[in-house]
Amino acid sequence: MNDRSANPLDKRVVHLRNITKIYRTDALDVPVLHAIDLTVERNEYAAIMGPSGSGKSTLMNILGVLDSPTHGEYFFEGWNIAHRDDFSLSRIRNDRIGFVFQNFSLLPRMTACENVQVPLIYAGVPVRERRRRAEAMLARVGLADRYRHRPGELSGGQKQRVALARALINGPSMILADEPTGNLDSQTSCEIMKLFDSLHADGQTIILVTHEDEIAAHARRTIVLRDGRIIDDRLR
Amino acid sequence: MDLRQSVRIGLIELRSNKLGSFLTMLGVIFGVAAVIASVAIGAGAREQAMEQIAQLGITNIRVRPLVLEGQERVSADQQNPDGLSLVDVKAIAANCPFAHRIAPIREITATPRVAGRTINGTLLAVTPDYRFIVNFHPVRGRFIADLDMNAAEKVCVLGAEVAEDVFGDAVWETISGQWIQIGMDIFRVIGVMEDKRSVSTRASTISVRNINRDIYIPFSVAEKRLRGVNGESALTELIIDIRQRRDVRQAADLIGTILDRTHGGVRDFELVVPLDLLRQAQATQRRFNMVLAAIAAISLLVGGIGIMNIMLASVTQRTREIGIRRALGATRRDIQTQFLLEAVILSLVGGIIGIFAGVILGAIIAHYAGWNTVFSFKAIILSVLVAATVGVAAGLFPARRAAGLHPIEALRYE
Ligand SMILES: Nc1ncnc2c1ncn2[C@@H]1O[C@H](COP(=O)(O)OP(=O)(O)OP(=O)(O)O)[C@@H](O)[C@H]1O
Ligand SMILES: [Mg+2]
Repeated sequence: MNDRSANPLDKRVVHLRNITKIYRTDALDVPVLHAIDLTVERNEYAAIMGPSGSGKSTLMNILGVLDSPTHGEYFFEGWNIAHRDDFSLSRIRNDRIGFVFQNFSLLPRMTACENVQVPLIYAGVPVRERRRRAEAMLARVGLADRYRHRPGELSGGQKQRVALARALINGPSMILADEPTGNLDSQTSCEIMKLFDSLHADGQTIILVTHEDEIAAHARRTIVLRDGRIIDDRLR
Repeated sequence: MDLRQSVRIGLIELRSNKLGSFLTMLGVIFGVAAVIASVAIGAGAREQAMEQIAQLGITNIRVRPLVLEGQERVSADQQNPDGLSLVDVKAIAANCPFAHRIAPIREITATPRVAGRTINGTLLAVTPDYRFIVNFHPVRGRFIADLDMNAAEKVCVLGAEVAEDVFGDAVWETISGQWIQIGMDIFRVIGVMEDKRSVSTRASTISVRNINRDIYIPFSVAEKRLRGVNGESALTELIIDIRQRRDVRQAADLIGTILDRTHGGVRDFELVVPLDLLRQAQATQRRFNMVLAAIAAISLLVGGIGIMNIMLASVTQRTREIGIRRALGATRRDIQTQFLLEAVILSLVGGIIGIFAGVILGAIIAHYAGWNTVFSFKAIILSVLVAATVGVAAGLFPARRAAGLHPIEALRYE
């Protein structure tokens, strides 16, 4: 993306048109997503639900430009990103999208503060500013006293807070969270979801995948997938 | 992504597996240490050879008598009973236009004494030209002059160590005019030579006498008064100084021909040409360098393979990390740079350890073998460059593999 700014005329952060994903293995083709049409606007709070294997993670990966669709068009902030090269897709992931994974995906040998700084490193932010911003963001997710801890020294909930701080550090257009509470107990899940809620209240666009109705209940919109098709899409 | 950060990430990685990193570096450490130590030893040997050759005189040709055995000796006794003699000096002076000066030398086997005490010194009968030919001059008094020669004056000039032995640190005024007894005659001391202590202690193929233990007397005196002390009429050595360095080879051939004629075809002498020795030393040096380069190349190749191996293992081990970094915005190039840099750090650190190891190794060898070592800054710089190159070469393939991983597959990797 030469121009990384959003198209101001377009309220749509994400616009999928007729997206199909087919995994080609040696023996056979596995179709996972069929003709998906989906639009997510700025400041939406959407939950994607559906049975295991229905293609939720696959859809999230395509939304996060970690994976590319087999067919169809993907407009991200108004720009068609179908045939972008690795460099510009990496740039989009770096400063327009924030990922949160079920298994936290922190780098084990780095401190919380260093983990949060990783996206800033790839954005070319100087070291001083990096540390300042990372510490501010950790404070914002309630980990002001854990800068120097490594992932092994943090609880599940704390790890997910670090991951959330990392997702937010570059001021992304949207947060993509694939089962962010999947590895957490209900008490901790509730705390994490409160954090998501407050981010949404501040204007953040959030798309998350979950199996649980209580989690989905935090979102304003629920999208249900089955066998690679959207079978329900409703606002609460 | 800035380089400093990449270096830091690389260092964190390598530090987390110190033993593994060290073992991986061993190949490079040995390779570089071998290069540094052997370059130093080679340079030391070379310097020493040069020094000794220079001491012999680069434009000089030396003729020494050969002791023959059996039938050869019989025919030598018939054809040329005098061996190397003044006849040869005259023949060379007359027929070799390249010769600038000719110095006949005769070693006298009489024992020099001072006040009845034996002196440890080598008696040499020389001509005044001797000091110019071997570029060796007195520091006190004077050398043997033409006058001494013509009058066959019984005077002598002492080598520095001999003078020290005999007179200690007495001032020249008290040494001058002292007498030394040689055979039945006494000789007046007229000078003391400069101290040409050979710097080298190492045994070498080119033997150089300790000239600080020489005692010089006029050649004519030896001829007239000391003739027949031991039945020697022959010369111990003949040094010919050639005008132009480029003529030395041709002059040596010509002198060989002249001497063959004067000796009736008997090869009872040998020609020593320092320039040839120099060339031989250089050729030996080149062969030595080639062997060295081969050893270094093999060590570094093995070291490089070791680094590649651990980097490939590291890429597999850290597949998830690669996936995470890709999700967070690392480009393929960022990943490639990171792994490449780790390989380079690994081999550079190995190279630097290798330099220290090589210097220590060289010093130890020099100490125990009594060899000279010369450590060159150039060899060290070269080693660093080579180590970095090995790192890049060894890291490129693993780094490309890391960069080529699909983000999703990397993230899913267990
Ligand atoms: N690399 C792949 N090759 C072949 N098939 C794949 C590949 N990745 C995913 N699939 C298939 O795609 C389908 C959807 O997978 P996906 O991970 O999107 O499901 P999901 O909805 O996230 O499930 P869960 O709720 O268990 O996480 C599955 O049937 C899976 O087997
Ligand atoms: Mg999933």
